[in-house]
Amino acid sequence: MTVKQISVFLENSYGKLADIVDVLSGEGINLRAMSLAESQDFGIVRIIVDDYEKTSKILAEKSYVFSVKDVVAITIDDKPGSLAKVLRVLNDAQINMEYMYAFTAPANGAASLILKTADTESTADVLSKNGVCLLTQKDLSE
Amino acid sequence: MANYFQPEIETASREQIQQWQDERLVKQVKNVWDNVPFYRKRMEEAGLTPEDIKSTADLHKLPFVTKDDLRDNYPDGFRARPLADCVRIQSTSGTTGKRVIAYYTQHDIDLWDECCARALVAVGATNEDVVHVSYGYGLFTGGPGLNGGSHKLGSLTLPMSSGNTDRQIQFMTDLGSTVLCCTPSYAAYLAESINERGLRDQIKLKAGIFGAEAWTEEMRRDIENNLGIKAYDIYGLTEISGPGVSFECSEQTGMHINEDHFIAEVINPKTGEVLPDGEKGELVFTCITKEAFPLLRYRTRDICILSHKKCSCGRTHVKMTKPLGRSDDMLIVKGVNVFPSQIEAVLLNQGYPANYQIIVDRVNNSDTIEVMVEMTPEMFSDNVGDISNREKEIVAGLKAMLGIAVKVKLVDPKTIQRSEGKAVRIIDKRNLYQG
Repeated sequence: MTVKQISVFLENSYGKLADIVDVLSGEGINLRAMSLAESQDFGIVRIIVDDYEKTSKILAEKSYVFSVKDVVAITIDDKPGSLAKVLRVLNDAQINMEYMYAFTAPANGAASLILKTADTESTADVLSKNGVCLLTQKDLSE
Repeated sequence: MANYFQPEIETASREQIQQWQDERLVKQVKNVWDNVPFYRKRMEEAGLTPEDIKSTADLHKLPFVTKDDLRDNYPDGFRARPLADCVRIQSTSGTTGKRVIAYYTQHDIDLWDECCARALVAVGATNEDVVHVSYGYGLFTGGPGLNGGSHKLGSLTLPMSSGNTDRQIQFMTDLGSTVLCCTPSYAAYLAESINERGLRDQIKLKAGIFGAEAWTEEMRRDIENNLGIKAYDIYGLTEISGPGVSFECSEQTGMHINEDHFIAEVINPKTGEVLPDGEKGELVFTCITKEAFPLLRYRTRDICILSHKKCSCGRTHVKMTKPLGRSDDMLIVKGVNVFPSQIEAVLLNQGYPANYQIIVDRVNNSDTIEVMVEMTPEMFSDNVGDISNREKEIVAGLKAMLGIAVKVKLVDPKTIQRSEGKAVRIIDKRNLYQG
């Protein structure tokens, strides 16, 4: 069980991040989660949205370079040790973490995370088997 | 407003101009045949004698002269008068290869001054004006050209040369300079300095003649607004005489070429075929009145368009657009020849489309070159490290191809400036025509 993440290339110029956020909000897209990765010269903004198909269409129309990738979204108890448990599970399964970012939970005030690993399917699998609560695309669209 | 220096010439009928050109060309061809072995040899090779050139209609038969020809015949292979008749040289600076030395008789200086005087009068100058010349003086033609034109007109001439901004501004305020002559980039800098010092209301400038480098309409507006003046373009090259080969009038829509001295043609740079009015091509000049250094069909490598349309200023001489580019797209960066096609090859070799733009600048007297590359799906990854590695590969490829370090910046798609639908491949921020 995975969700779609959209990664967009951003050149390192003034106002580029604001531009894309404006474009999406103007079309009524709700950003569920966002993370920015940057080098000295450019950045990649990674977003989880309520409607990734519509978002892809908008970005394509505006000539952004982007990709849509499967990532794992989980929700965990907002208390010490919850994340450690998840990471231990992945470690035991020898799954390498590429990057992760946290965001506000859609419900219950629980902590939510987006995980990107080398093997998305097994990640979802192994977490699910170990009782970690996975979010679906539908959870994020609501 | 009678703003002509020589109205009978500047507003002459087309027939009259034609007649001058026909007569003077025939005479000039005979002159170079007799006095410059290079021309005689070239004409003989083309099976021509002076008798074959009966009017401007025969001009196209003459072979072209290129900058390489001038360099090959350095220093005086093109001199058509004995040294005793020559009074001056000017020269282009050469970063690579040999300089070009242009010789002048007193007659040549006079006609050059006359051309610059026409340019000054066209921007509204009279003998009551104070002409502030901040072009460099010396071998560079900018200073001597406008200086001579101002003398000819009888204006008070301030031979400031370039640099020492405080002194420039002090003379401007104390002596009430009314016409500024310099490069557009220096004009922009002076405007900024004047406004910074809060001296805008103490200067009396009304017009400026700015040439010797490429500048945009936007830059014109900025200078005009920041100094409260009208800014005019002027064109010229040392090989043909210097500034004043053509100049802008009140219309500010192109530069009138002094056709009583210079015949202009626009050619297809690939085939050499002469193009009609309105078509873009390489500008070629033939000097019909010069004595010491008369170039015939000299290829400027500047791309422009000619127009014989009636001008509201009343001048009848043909107008040229600002140079729109070069017929050779070669750049010299840090003394190294760079062709855009080399950069294209590196990108294509690495599997990317060639959407790029080269930005050349000069910072602290040192050239910088940056290549903007539009991001493409092929190059994209959602991992910063992957993209950085691809960027490094491009940098390494360019270094191997060109032999100099090139900075690469990845930019958003479709952000590279397009002109008439065509991507602008080169932005050269240096002083293109300085020397």
